[in-house]
Amino acid sequence: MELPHPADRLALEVGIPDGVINVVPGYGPVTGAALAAHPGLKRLSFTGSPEVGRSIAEACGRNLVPVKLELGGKGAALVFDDVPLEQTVEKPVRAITFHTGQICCDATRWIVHRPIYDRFVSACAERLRQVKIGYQMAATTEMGPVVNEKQRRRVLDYLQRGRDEGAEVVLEGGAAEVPGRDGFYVKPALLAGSLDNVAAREEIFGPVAYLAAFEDEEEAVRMANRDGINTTMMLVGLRQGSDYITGRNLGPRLCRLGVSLHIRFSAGPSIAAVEATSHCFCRLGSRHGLGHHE
Amino acid sequence: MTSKPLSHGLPEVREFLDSGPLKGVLGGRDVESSNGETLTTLDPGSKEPLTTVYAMQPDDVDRAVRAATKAFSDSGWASMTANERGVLLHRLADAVEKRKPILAQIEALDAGKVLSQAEGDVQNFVDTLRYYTDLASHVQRRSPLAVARHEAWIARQPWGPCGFIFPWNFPILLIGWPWKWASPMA
Repeated sequence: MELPHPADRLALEVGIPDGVINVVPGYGPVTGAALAAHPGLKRLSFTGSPEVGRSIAEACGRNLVPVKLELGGKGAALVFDDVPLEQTVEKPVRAITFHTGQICCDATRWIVHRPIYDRFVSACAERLRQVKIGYQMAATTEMGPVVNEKQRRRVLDYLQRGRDEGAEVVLEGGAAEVPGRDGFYVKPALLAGSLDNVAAREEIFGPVAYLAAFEDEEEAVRMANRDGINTTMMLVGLRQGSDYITGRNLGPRLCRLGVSLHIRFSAGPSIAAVEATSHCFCRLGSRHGLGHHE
Repeated sequence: MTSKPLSHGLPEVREFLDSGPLKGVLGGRDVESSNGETLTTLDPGSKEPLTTVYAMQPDDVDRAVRAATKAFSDSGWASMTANERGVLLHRLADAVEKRKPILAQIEALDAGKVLSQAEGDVQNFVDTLRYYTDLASHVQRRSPLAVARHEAWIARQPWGPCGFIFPWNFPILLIGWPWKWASPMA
């Protein structure tokens, strides 16, 4: 899964000097670990799981090499009762099906306002049932495989553990069959219930979302902000859009202390995305991103 | 390495995959792993082997860091103005964009990513690289500081050799993102 990209050779073709970009493919525990532990670096950047991130940070800490980590999370979507239902379903559904849910920062906990909970949940389940799972090169495919057997096992194990801990199964999920292709395919799944459930607390990295209902905004904030979970946020369905967030101070209240807040407003006035980048040790975007490398 | 029949496989993609074991790039040269070890990469959608890749060892990593260190001090890259680097980085962005169908297919096959999403990732890389390249040429390298009885300023200096470890979910896209090499390069 780690092909040395032809883009790197392109760098040489366009005249970027030898040695400015070097490409070192290999196994994480061998090649990656060696790079992280190298005292000759002035900076290291890593994207991956929190577990590996910790050992990378340790290695860099020992060498006093500044490190930037982009790790996993258990993002939350807060769905308020003023959503235009049909349009809105598409966004959280995409959050768990885009690249088969293998994204660090998308919403995998859907915290839904009680008055619309049943309708929203069944609309999402219906949409997810229609997702066309297939070979990633086929034009009709909406969702491809997960990347390997380990990841597929991980998804299936979390579904099992979630059920064992008492989660309600809204959409069963499980292994998927694609005619003519033997690949690592899984179906989308929805579990619901208590946010103490393992499937609601730990990152699954697949097409699975965990659902819970909230009565009022305060409860929604508490549910989204649970301790010990690295969270990015998506706010869905707000009457006043950005005014609501800043006016009610909802954005900052969604983030744990010490977390930098990145507000991004996605397509449509009724959908706002608030990303709390608690899994990054840095700020994102524009001059801040550039500043970290100067 | 014989290639398997690919759906929508471009000849350049097949040629690339057939040229395995794929080598790393150190100091401008294609290199094998020091112990010859290779790894096989599979197409997650079919479990079929795509190609083999040399698995670099710690001493290869050391040589890579040395190559980067040497390039930092000798190649002139670090002492170029942002505009001069910008010209080359824009050429890179253009070269990648021109080959987007090829790179997207490789990405989709390698990561199991839906082809249209892989194309989006390659475009994202190109757009991000262009954005940061242009931004870099407008950043003030020296800003004055008011310090009594001194001439003082803040001067931005290049970091030096930087390491990047990429994940398998958005390989090419994250090469372009700000905390990967687009902004350090610029």
